[in-house]
Amino acid sequence: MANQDLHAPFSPERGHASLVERSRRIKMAAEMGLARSSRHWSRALRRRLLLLRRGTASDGCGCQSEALTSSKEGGDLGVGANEEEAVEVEARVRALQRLVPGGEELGTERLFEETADYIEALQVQVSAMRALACLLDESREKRG
Amino acid sequence: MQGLRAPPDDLSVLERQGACLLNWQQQGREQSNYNPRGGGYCRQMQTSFQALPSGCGGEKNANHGDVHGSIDCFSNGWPDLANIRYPVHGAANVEETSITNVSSNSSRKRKADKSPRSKEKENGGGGKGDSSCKRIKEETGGGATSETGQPNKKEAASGDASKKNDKPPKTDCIHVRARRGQATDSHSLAERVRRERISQRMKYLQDLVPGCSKITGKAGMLDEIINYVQSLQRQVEFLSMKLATASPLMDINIDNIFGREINPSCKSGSTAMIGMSSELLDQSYLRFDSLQHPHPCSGLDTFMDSSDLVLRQNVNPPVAVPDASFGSSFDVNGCSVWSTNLQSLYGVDFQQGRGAALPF
Repeated sequence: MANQDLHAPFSPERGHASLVERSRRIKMAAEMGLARSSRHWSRALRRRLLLLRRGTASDGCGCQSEALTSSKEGGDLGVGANEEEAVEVEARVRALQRLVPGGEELGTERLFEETADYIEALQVQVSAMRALACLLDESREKRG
Repeated sequence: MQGLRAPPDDLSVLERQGACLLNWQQQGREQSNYNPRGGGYCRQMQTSFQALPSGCGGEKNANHGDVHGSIDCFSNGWPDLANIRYPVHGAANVEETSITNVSSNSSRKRKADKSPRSKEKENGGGGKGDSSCKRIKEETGGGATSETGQPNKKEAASGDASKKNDKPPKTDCIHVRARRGQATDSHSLAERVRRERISQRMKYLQDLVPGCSKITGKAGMLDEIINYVQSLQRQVEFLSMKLATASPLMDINIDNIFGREINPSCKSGSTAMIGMSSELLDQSYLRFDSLQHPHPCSGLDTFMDSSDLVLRQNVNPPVAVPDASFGSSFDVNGCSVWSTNLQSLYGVDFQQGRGAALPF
């Protein structure tokens, strides 16, 4: 979730610069909303946001515990699966680890738990933001 | 239910498990009687499981909801795997004191779940999960559910201390039934328990992600899950952009967010927000368009909360609430502040009668 993505589609015109900045702050506020629960991914997200806040760019490169998943993947996930499948699955699990905040430290089982909770939280957040956007649009229409 | 009871020696374990699986729902009714805490929570989880997917994905997962409701649940929502292995017969069968174990497992799990919560390591999580997933059989326990206090501590201690039990002692033993033709040494047993738990999680994820039920392969499902998470993250970005365009007058002061965030107490956060909301109201900001002054709203959720109160003053059409159970889905997160903020937002949403706000 790089913030730089926001800058990409916009040419830095005067009018748009503040828009980008505003949207970045809104996004950060939304993420802070996500980061309030006591789950592992939520704490990791909090840490990352605080670091960003302080200006240090941290990309969450916690590669230390990837070994945790690699050794157990074949046995845990693929019952009777080929080696290729196990490797594929393992690659996807790694990708998921990178997506879920704090996922890189977790083993497969915990990772799935956190993923489920993270998905639910994201769903709620998206619905809330969507509702808010609808409200704002409506009120703007009322204004005429 | 009574008709299912058969002498345990005659049936093979597989058949018993099959019979057990067929009667999950009925067992759920029984089990909930024995678990005043667990049953209530499970019903709550059942509502939330039904509500959240149906609200978000438009899919009716009623079956899964029932299943989740009838399975004894952990405090974080995961079904207690060990209960699946054992058929729950009538109370007369002392050997299979599953019902006792159900309540003892659930209440013990609840206790155990809270303390090691802070443990983030894989071993901690795995060990805790394993100890509670392995069935603990009490030969001397009897049917007394009131004894769950002390035996719980003993079970937790023994379970946490030893993850693998080669030769379980007679009292205070941990039993994991082995299927026919499978190795019974502790390694493969632990492996199998792990695998089953992982597949349980995968199943839950499958229910969560819309459109995932048709896919059978693990790699394909993981692909779907990854795509879904990415799409959700992208939606958050897109919506934040949209919000920025939709409200040029809204200014969110990031500085205040962290001032509040560092304080972990939820209650203070919510009171601060309510204070801010009432302050906004006092200054008679009754419409969005009148938010001319950049008032620092700490966090998007603060804004939503205040806007909710603002709008409630204006718009009060008696609109039917389309999906009231959506609100109960917040219990899944278990964070009171979350539900306070966003639930009020959903109140506004329903009042507006906007079905479009429900995504996917």
